[in-house]
Amino acid sequence: MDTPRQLTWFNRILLAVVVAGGLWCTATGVWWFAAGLLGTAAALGVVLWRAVRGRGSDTRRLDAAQPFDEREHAASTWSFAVVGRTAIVALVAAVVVQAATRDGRVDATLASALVLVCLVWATAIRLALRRA
Amino acid sequence: MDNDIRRLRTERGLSQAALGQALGVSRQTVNSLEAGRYDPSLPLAILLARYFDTTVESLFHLPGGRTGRHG
Repeated sequence: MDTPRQLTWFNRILLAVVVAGGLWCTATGVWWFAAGLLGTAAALGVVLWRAVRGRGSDTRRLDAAQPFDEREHAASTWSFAVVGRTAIVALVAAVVVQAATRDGRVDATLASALVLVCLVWATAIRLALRRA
Repeated sequence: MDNDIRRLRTERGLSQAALGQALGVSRQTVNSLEAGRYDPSLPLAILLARYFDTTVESLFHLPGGRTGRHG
């Protein structure tokens, strides 16, 4: 359709994590998980190869977090904002439920995830306002 | 926002995909622009106006015939 676009930072990180995970699992002999991760990386690669060239539908490109133009970028930004709000609400709910049902004890991983998401949220707000 | 993109495109015998390729946007985005579902950024509006050899004000119209002028 047009000159291929660059991979989004999200997809670069996602692809790197999946490939690194696949290689790690291969090295440690967890074959079934390695096959799953490397297969996922290959499938993701094919989807992204098409998406950066503007092929397929806009829905497929946004499913792959690879918007092609400004309208798709706006739609992607909006949908990720919904994901972020949902993640914060879900994590807060999970922390509250754990604290209420386990005598105030909260799993460290869960609490860390909530703190991380809130820090990213606060940073993103400040960056967005500085750019606007 | 109302616009004349569909009329100008069909007058030139262009497909939505061809116009999208010329502007660097997808066919679906051209369709959304023509239907008035998506309002373009200022740079894209200027690109569209230049492509059709017209002005942004001539290509896009405020809903309900509003002019936006005082008085």
